[in-house]
Amino acid sequence: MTEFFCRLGALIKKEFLSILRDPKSRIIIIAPPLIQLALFANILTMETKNAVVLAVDRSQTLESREFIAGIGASSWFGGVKAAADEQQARQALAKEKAQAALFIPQDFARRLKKGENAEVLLLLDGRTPSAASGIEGYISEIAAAFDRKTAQKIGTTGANIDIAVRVRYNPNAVYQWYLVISLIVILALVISLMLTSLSVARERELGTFEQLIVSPCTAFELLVGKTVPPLIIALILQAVMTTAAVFCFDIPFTGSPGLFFFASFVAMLSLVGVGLFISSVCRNQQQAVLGAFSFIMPAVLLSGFVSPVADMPVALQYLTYANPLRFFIDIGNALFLKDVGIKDIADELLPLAGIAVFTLYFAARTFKRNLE
Amino acid sequence: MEKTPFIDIREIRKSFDGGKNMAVDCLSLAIYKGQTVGLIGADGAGKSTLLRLLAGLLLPDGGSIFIDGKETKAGRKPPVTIGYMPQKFGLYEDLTVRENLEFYAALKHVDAEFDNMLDFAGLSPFQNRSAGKLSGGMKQKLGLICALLGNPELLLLDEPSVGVDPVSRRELLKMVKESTKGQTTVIWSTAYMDEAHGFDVAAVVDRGRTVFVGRPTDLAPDSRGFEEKIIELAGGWQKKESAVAKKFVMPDNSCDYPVEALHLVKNYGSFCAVKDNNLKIRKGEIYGLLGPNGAGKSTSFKMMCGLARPTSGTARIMGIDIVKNASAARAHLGYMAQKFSLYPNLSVRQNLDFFAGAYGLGGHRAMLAVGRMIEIFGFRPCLNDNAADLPLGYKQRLSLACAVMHNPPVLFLDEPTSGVDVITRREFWNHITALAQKGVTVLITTHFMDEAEYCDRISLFFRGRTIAAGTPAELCRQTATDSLESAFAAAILAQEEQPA
Amino acid sequence: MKTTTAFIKKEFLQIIRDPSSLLIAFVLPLVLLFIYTYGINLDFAHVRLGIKNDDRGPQTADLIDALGQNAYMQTAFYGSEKQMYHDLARGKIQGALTLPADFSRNLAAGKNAALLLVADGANYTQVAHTQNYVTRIANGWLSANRRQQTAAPTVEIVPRYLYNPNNDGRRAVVPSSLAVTMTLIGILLTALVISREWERGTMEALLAAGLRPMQFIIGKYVPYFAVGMLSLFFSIAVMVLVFRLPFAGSWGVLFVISALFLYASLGLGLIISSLLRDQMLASMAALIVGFLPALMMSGVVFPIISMPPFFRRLAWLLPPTHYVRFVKSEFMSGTVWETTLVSGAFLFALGTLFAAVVYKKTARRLDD
Repeated sequence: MTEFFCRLGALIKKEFLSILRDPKSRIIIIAPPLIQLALFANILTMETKNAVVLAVDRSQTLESREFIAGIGASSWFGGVKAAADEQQARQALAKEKAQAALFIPQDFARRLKKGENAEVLLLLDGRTPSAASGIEGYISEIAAAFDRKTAQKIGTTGANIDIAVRVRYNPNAVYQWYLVISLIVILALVISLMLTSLSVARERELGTFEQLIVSPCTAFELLVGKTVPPLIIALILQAVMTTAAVFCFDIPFTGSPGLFFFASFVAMLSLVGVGLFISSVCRNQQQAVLGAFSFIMPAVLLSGFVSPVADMPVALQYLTYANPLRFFIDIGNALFLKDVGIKDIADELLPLAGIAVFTLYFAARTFKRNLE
Repeated sequence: MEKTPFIDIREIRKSFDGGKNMAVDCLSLAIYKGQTVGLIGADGAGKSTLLRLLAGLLLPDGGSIFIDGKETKAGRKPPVTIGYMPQKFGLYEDLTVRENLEFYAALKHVDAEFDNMLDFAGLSPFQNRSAGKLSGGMKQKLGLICALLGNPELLLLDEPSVGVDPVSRRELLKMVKESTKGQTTVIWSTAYMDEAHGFDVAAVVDRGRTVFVGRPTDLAPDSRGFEEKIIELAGGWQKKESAVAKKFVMPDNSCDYPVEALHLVKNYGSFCAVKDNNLKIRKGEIYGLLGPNGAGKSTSFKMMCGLARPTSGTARIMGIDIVKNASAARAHLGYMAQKFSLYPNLSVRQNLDFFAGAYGLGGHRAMLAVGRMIEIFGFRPCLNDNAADLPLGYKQRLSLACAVMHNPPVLFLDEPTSGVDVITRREFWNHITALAQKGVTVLITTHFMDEAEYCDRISLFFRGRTIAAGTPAELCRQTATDSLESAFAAAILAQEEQPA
Repeated sequence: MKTTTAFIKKEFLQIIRDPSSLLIAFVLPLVLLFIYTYGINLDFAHVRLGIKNDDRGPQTADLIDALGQNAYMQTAFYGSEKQMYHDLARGKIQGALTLPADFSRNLAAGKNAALLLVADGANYTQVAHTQNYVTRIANGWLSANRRQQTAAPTVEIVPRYLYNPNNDGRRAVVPSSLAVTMTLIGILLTALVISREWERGTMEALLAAGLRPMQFIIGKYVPYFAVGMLSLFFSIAVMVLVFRLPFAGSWGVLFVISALFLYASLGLGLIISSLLRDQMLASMAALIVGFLPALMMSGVVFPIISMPPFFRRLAWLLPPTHYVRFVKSEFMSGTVWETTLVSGAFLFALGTLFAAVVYKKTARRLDD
């Protein structure tokens, strides 16, 4: 038994040293995740901001100017610029000098005064569909506010529905909260995959893998020795990123830290498993890197980070069961923002454990088969 | 010789790591046209650096090189055509034999008769095999014909015979002799003294300087004496009690045959690499596995230490079945890999610590074992150096230290001396024979015939089978030859005449 | 010339012999194309909405029907608020709507009526969609019910989407995937190609055989460039022929700018490869400078316009950003010469700068 721990200790220490001994690799492992978290968290958003709107005002009345001023006053846009005619506006849109163009017809004020509805044409850039629908939404809201003022002026206070929207667990609907939590998970994937996917392939190229096999270490010990160091490094980095999320990005951590840690542990185990799986089937480091990338790309896209898993075709949804990221992102958001118990995340935790067991078992088997 | 030298090296200097590491120190050497020069010296003596300077791959810090009367300058083409074969072959493993040859021919703007060249090297049957799948000897032959492309006036060969069996080595030498026809000047660095003894000139390099240049026969009439002289020139070696063996604690065991192979068979698809191999090695015996590259001795070796799974049959280490109970069997085993596989980015101390742990030594025992190894092998000055930066001789010592640290009753050594200089080899064998006297059982593969004579018994492998076995003297008697090398050649020749 | 062709041929053979490079060049783009087409969807979201109706009035039945009939919404009814919020916490529903007891009474009295919608902030991608659906349906229901009443005039916004009449997100995201695949080929495949020559000792043989740095560089660029272009043709063929993606631009312009983009990406990959001789470090670096910016900062998913001004400028220093803008325009609106020429010139300049660095960093001797 003591020999077991001796061997394990030696394997783990060796792995740590070969990852962290060289200052260059220390920097390249530790710095980029933190920098990227800080960078991406601050600059990325799915919301549309800073868009420039062109206004072609053919009405040139108090009302039309008020309508345009409403857009200018809103904080969603980068500004409103006047355009002479439709052709000029279309050209500006084509060159992406502006993101939308608003055409107020000549009879705008006249119709409103007569109590008729007025139509306003909004040209949007369909090459950026999500920005286009964002802008449309904003302008509709501005129009609604304009309508209420009109109604007040005329004095017809028709009944309205006030929809009070509360975004639970994220009361101010800050996209950054979701982004940061998801980024932490994605970066954890990238780190653990990079640390593990090369590790076996590298030893195979160096010839040290033979040494390991000839030593009395069992396949299980080799597996644990290969799993623990990247797991610990990734967990520490994740802890640092989580702390940064709480203190730098002011995201409240409402769940149980113990459960969060446990769930992260299971999730990381599955990520490390995937990495070792890739590493054990690749002949050399080049293949291992390409393999890791080929996994990371689809895993990020199919994780629900960009768009919900529920909206994918059924076949793809089944495919996401092999994607630890999908479950990890859900767990991260649930445990961070909602105070849920272990039962509530069991649906995510079990598949993660399943992936971990499958990949690690397979990796261990290839270790054994490599005794060939 | 009155004429001007073909190559004139004058007080050339080259250092690495910002002057810390003096590789070539004011070396002067004159070589005449058509000579074959054997470059001999310890690891780190500056042989490879000298060849690279001549090939223009490195620029000297000082001094000058004249080739054919013209000084070589940076950024200018060398005055004569040079063929250079680096130590690591320089072959593309995923390209086929023929593609490698064609590629180098195109690089050198040479139109060559590829078929003739492949025939010449005996590689025609393998021309569509990828270079990575060739045996060591074939790789070297391919590397050599690549270097010979365009009939260079100067041929630089950096240890072309490392890891090559004696038969292939003879062929390699024959190939060089035939293709150069005395016109080409050849500089051949080698660790094989018998090989160097046959050259026109021997240049012995030590610590970046030449200590002897002249006809090998001037030093000693035969290769054995020549070896002694070389050792003397390189600072001498005194046989003393092996500290490794002295400190070695032989575990109690009553196993009469610590290593046994029982009907080992290995098939790769339809190809039979090892056919029914049986071995029983007595306690304290040094047992050598010999044979040409690809004859199955490596596969047998690997099956016996658990690196390869036998198709059928099994092996026992200290009576424990390696197939059924691998971990327990391996605990009795010390292993030294061919390439001295160490963790390159770990320091000497960290490597020792790791292998101590990997063999189940913990805490105090590990500390004592590591301390013992540091003391015995004199690692103290380089404790914190990365294993990757050690000279080859030190790597070999470190590798041996890692293998014997846990006092294993059985040692498996896979070409433990390939590429290593004479003195380090002497030292190594001193350790091994002393360990065997203490009762350690040793299984070793080697290509050095003089080393085979240290073995108590030898198995000669050919085409997957043992074709001869016995003590070195018995083998010579069986084949009616006077040296092991001839016995080796004779046994193989006898087999080749029979249909495979 | 002969040397260079031989070197190029050798590189090609190496690419063909290693199945993993073909995987990256042809299989991965196909997988990504599928994912971008079917797996990524920014236009709508299926939402499960929990409803607790405290208003027993007959009118609200219409409203609740309308909510349930929306194509993207599924409704579930709750008697207890606690249960509803519990399900929201567990992710069973993404929105929880409460109709207060006085809802229809207020409306009938001509007063404003309130609805409470609680969305799950932990499933953020669905929040905006949920809010959007409920607002639209509620307002639609209101105006239908209000026909009888006299209402104030409203401003109706008539949106028109240029180049993409249905504002179909797929049409933008699928061509953008070219930027990601081309980055993978440009940076990933090349990041290890020089370090491998060093590790296997072939660099020494090449230098000894007198291979000149220029020949070496051409030999490294040309094959991967060819593989990248082939992969591009392949991806475009699948897009246009299989996925029937409309193409409005000019094929010539598309290939020229794509070639320039590949040129710049290859340069970046080869710089990494010539600077970092350790394969592990090289692959990490490729990931950091190659993959993440291409995915996150190029505008494929996250709009560049929404970034803070400094970072918006920074994003325009990255080749993928230019290429994403270009390729979207080329497919949807046809060539926009002004931005195309700027991007083309930028990519060419950057690629040439990178090539110069690679040339400078290519070893002439072993101790360089």
